[in-house]
Amino acid sequence: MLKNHLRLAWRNLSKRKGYSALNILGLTIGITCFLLIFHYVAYERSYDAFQQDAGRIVRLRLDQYQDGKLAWKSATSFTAIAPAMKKEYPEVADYCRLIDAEMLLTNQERNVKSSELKGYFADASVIPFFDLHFVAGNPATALDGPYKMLLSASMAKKYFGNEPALGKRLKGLYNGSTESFEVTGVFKDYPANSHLILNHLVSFSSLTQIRREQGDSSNSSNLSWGWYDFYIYLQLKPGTSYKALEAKLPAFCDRHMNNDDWHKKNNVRQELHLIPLSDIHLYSNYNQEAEVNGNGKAVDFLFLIAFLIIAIAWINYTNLATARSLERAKEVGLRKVLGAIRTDLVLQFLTESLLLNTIAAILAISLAWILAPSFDTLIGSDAGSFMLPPAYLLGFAGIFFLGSFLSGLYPAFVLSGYHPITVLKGLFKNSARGQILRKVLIIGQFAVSVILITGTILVYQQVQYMRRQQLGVDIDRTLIVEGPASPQDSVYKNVFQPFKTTLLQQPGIRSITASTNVMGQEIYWTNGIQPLGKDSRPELTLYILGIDYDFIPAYSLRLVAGRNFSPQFSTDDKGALINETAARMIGYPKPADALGQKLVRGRDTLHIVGVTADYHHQGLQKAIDPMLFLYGPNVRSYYSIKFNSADLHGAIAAIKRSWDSHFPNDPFNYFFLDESFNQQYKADTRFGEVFGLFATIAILIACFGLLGLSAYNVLQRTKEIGIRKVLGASSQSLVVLLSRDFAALVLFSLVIAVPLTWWVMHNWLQDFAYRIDIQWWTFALGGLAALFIALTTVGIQAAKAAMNNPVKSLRSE
Amino acid sequence: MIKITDLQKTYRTEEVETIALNKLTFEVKEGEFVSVMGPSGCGKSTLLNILGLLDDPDGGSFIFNGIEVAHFNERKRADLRKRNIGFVFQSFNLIDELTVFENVELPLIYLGVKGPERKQRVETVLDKMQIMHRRNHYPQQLSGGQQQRVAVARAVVNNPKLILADEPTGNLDSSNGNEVMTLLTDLNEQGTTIIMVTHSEHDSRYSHRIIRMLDGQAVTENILI
Repeated sequence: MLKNHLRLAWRNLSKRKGYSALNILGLTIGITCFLLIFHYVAYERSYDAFQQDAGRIVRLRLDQYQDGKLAWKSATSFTAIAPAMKKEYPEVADYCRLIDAEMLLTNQERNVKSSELKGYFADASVIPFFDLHFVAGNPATALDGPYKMLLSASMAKKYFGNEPALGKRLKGLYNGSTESFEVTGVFKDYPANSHLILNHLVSFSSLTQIRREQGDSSNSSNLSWGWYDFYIYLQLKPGTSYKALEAKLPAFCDRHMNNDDWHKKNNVRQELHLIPLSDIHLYSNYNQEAEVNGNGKAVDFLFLIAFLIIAIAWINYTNLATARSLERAKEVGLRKVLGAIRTDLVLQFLTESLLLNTIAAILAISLAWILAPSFDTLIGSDAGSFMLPPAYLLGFAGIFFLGSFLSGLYPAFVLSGYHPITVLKGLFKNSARGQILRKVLIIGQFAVSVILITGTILVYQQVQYMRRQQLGVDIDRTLIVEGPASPQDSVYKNVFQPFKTTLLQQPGIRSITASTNVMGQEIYWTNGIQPLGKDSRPELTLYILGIDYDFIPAYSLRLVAGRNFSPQFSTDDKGALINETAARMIGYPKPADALGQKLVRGRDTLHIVGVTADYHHQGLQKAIDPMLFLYGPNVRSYYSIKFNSADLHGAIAAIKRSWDSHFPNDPFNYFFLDESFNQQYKADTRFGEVFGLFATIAILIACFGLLGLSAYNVLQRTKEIGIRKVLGASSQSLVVLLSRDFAALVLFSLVIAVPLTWWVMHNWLQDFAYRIDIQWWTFALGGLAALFIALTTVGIQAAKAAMNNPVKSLRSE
Repeated sequence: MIKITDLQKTYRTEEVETIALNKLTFEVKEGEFVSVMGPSGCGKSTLLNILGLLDDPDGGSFIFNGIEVAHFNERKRADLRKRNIGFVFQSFNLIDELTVFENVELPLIYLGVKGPERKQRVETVLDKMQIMHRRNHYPQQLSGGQQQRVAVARAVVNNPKLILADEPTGNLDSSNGNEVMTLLTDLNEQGTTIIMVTHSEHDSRYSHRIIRMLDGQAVTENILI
């Protein structure tokens, strides 16, 4: 029987080639999209899941509230929390602390030198916590004392070539001191799908030792309850729920943090939260994240789109199959007369559906395999070649069979329910119920299409809005060079000044200025500030930018009151510039009121010399923070070089030559500020592009369905068209007649789509500090686009039918 | 074999009530060849549908092979139908997507007959209908007469006790028509009961008896043999 079903199904497909092609094409595109998105989602969700103990490892997060309002959420927290938690909570099996160990590493023998940004001081527990696979060295002792260092296999190769690295030494310039580290282990390169990039790891005791040498007698790297730059991971004992542990943390915070004088005086409350290791990549987006994390919301949203698109494709199948039921009715009637019972027929039609879907799935898998690299590029993923992990494969198989089954089930039941006599006598007409269902399904399809089109327009508008907004700062034609780490503060001035002078002599270079941070980057340097004499007032957290004299003019920052730092004022090393937001938050109604006022910052007292206009230090997703500019003769994290030369390559080569002669021990790393700044919009731009792509595909598939249905509709009404024409109807009126119903359906879909889109996009826009207002015409545009596409699809069919010779259509009855 | 008593069937639409069968009573014995004649709308086709277990009556009794079947549900009717009744239609009603062989094979598939036996039985009947050489053709590749021979082959392949024929020669020219009537007569001579609805006096002469209907009732019966 099955063989018979399959054979007949195959003949049916090959007999109605146009219909089958339309169906297979729609399903193939739908399934391909689904697979590509599935592939991407699987990769994004695979982050850190490769670790054997991933389920038991959580990371701490620190939230700070001032005056009851959230001040910040940080991925890092205080170092002392880790040992305290292990002591106080038996469910904590172990902890691991990581803190940035950015350093300039040198192997003098081979003359390899590079500034390494992706490494950490780490507790020895980092090895089991992060499942490091050693290719050399003893994991048990590799980080058990100061000045021990682990390198990834690539790093070992970079510094030592093919020689064994184990036991060799590297010089590391960290925070102004040069230390010698022994390579005590080499580990297999850490997988890319992790929220951490681990290139080098330095024993935690090295940090303690270095700080002690630098004069920190308080062992702050182990004991501090105020230094919050540490990533803290906890391994829980088996069977422990992290939620249960998290519930105990408010008491912990009250015990150790919230009840001291500083917290009370400043009305500050701190909270600790836990996040499972494998959730960090997608659902953690706080200050001081180790890497730019993925966007869980976007991934979830895309996942939803995957289901919507495949659903649209299946709806097409159901629609076309039921619409065609008239053609199949005779066959059904006959089979019943010959003894088929309903189950036989349901099975037969399900076999057909499965066959069609299987063909589409095979095509889709091949397409997904071919398209995966391009899709990865579009979406900015490094998921690699098309492959689904077993769980996702199983998921896909399940969805595929369920979808094929459900989309075939309705037509199967409709068809198998026909009464043989009615059908064989030709009394049969498509039922009203079937038509209503088809209408509902078309409305659903177009509602989804309109949501996607309108969503695309809104995402595009928001990105354009952010890009076009005046930043209040000039970031064009600016080359940023990462500042030199090796010169000592005492001699720095003697090197920098001649470097600057040489550069300014180059044609096309306008200015060079040094700072601790540049636009587009998160500022981590913050301090609590109080106006002098107002000790009782809570501290205000200001974001600090260390600059030299040239920074303000070089970036065309506007001063709304007072003046810039100047060498003419010797007191400017205790001077302060603030931005308008800071002035307002400290309590000066007018910027000029701030001038000459004193601010207490730790043990220093600063006097305000000027107020700058607010500018966007970061992208428009972020609100403008209250900022404090401090003058520092030795600030040099970044040099901003403004140029107006057309010969960019020549200018860069000249800068490099000058760099190499003045800073021979430091690598020359540079980037362009506008490009780097616009990186902040990359994720949203990409989101818009992906959104647009799927909107196009969704409407394309929906149109396939519409094309099939309208063709069928025209076919059914051939006689009516002929009679109307004979009676004098014009072609135009016939086109209107045939298109009207479809237009009504698309319009009706707008009623569903508009509020849904508004709701979804309104929520999406909440993530942006500066955002567009949703305009009514966006919906009108999205709706018109859908209507236009639908009417074109239907209209072509209608026009063809309307222009036929009526005699022909009447004879066809 | 068939005994119907006071059989009633009424079709209702919102405004009109049409009595198709009005207390119809008659009997057909095993091995008989009966023609049913009458003007359009007299209830012939309704009668044939009820006899073929494709439709159920509103009232009266229908005894088939000694069993009251008037109120059988669809599954039971389908089961009884596929084991006992073969159909021949005016418009042949072959399935276009299936070859001659496959069309004839279909009733056997629904009967659950195994493959090798099916092959053998289909070939036997195709041979008998002299259509074996066309076994791999599709219906649209055959002439009307050939198509009807396939339809007859399909009707008899499961050795039904009863063949219901609805104007079997209506779409055929006279020579093809005679051929089909000869086939039916042969089958009848081999023991198959045949009830045939026809407008053709010529065809009705092949049968043993003619039931003439008017307004849902049997008005006369002509015994021909």
